[in-house]
Amino acid sequence: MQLLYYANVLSLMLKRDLISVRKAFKSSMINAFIWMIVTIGIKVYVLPFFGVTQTYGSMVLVGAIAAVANMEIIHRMMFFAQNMIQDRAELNYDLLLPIPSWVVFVERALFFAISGMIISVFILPMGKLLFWNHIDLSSISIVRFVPFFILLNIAFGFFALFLASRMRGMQSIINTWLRIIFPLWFLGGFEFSWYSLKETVPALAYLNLFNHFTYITEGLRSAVFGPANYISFWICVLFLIGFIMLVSWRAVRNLQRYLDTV
Amino acid sequence: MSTPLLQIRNVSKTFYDKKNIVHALDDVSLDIERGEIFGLLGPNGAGKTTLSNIIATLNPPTSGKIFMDGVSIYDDLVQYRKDLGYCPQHPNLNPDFTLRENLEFDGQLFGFTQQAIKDKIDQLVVMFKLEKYLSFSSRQLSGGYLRRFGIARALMHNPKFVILDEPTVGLDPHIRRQVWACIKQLKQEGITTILTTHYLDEAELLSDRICLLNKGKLLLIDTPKGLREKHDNKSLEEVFVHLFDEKE
Repeated sequence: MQLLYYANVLSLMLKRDLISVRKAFKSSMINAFIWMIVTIGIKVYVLPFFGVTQTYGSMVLVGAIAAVANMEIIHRMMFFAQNMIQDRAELNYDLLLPIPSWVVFVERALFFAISGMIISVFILPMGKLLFWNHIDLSSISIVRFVPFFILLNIAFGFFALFLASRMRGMQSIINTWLRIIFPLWFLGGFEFSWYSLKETVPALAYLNLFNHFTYITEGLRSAVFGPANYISFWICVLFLIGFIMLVSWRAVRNLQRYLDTV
Repeated sequence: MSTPLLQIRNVSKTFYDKKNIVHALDDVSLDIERGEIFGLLGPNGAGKTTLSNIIATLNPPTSGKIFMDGVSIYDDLVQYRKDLGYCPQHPNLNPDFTLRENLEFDGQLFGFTQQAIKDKIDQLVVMFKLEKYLSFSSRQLSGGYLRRFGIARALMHNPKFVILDEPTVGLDPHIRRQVWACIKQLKQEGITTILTTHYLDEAELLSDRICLLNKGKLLLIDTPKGLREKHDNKSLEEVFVHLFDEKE
């Protein structure tokens, strides 16, 4: 019963937070489309002149779903971190609601995740519409793609919460972006598959097995293009579930300790 | 004799960082009676905000206990928070919403029906003279109105008591008086109020009892009148200076 009550308050908080940023979503969506059009446009129209295959654009477009979701989630996380580092006024209001502090933190991670979903859900259909002949989605498994899309955003949401839980000053927000998120994202297979990395730089490929971005991009591509050239879809799912459990527990513990909450 | 609304027993709070250990509160015990305005007074760093944050359950004490109606507040934290209203020093209204929406969401989060929310908003805006500003965003309001709305939001879920943390800090004199009127209104409504302030005139005018804190320790608890009588009818400011000089 208590958990149902918490879930009800959590859903109301989510509704409040999503309504609160609804105007910002329009702007984020325009940003995401500009980024996607430029990035994929280069891949499908320019790079083939340098010997890159036509199908490369499709592969990167799928990676772009994760990239856009991640960017939006980190953007939202930075507002949260800023409030936490500064006067905590809005956060303290939530921490005094009739729920334990872990519910507040879980809500924030889910809010990040839903924000990521809202902004990235149109990337694949828009990419297909814009670059029609260059994007091959004939092997897509919707049954695998949709749950994996939700799962990856939840993983990003809790990872963002974990990063926020480690931030102690405004400079650390910038450092986190450049030192942690960017390398993880760029090495995590946004522009290449894990098997292609294994062929060229095996040591880096094995190191990348500890990078959750690898499983996110590989799992997405496995759902869209089939399993032949990618890490098994189910391994990616299992990894992400374990990853979510680990970072959510760690993030909540860190925040409870840092904010000294009840 | 009835049980006090709140009983604070041997509450201490210690903050640790890499280099220092700070004893922000040291073995504080006190009772807060029903319906009273209880002034927490002390210089900067006395431990007022630390104590009010602990009572509000924003932070746990390092040691000690707090009881409400004789029951530990941690036995049923959810119910305790429903009984508690908190108005922080910095207004925490959501600037993306109108003030009406802020109040509505508060009511929803505390499980009120739409009708109950509407009735409560109607009651609060009349009580605090805020009818004209319900459709405003918090960005459009001056400090005095924000504080009044902050207090109104703290009352939205019908709490048994409210904590007002420095409610008039940084406000013009005439706006301070408007906020004082709101605080007096709380007493008329029978709501117990914990008032954190470092303004002596405010504490003297509003509080039924004053609790003096200094460097995390409780110096004394008395009525403003009792304090003056014990110190040759000096003003509260003179009493305050005398007491703190004595401790230095």
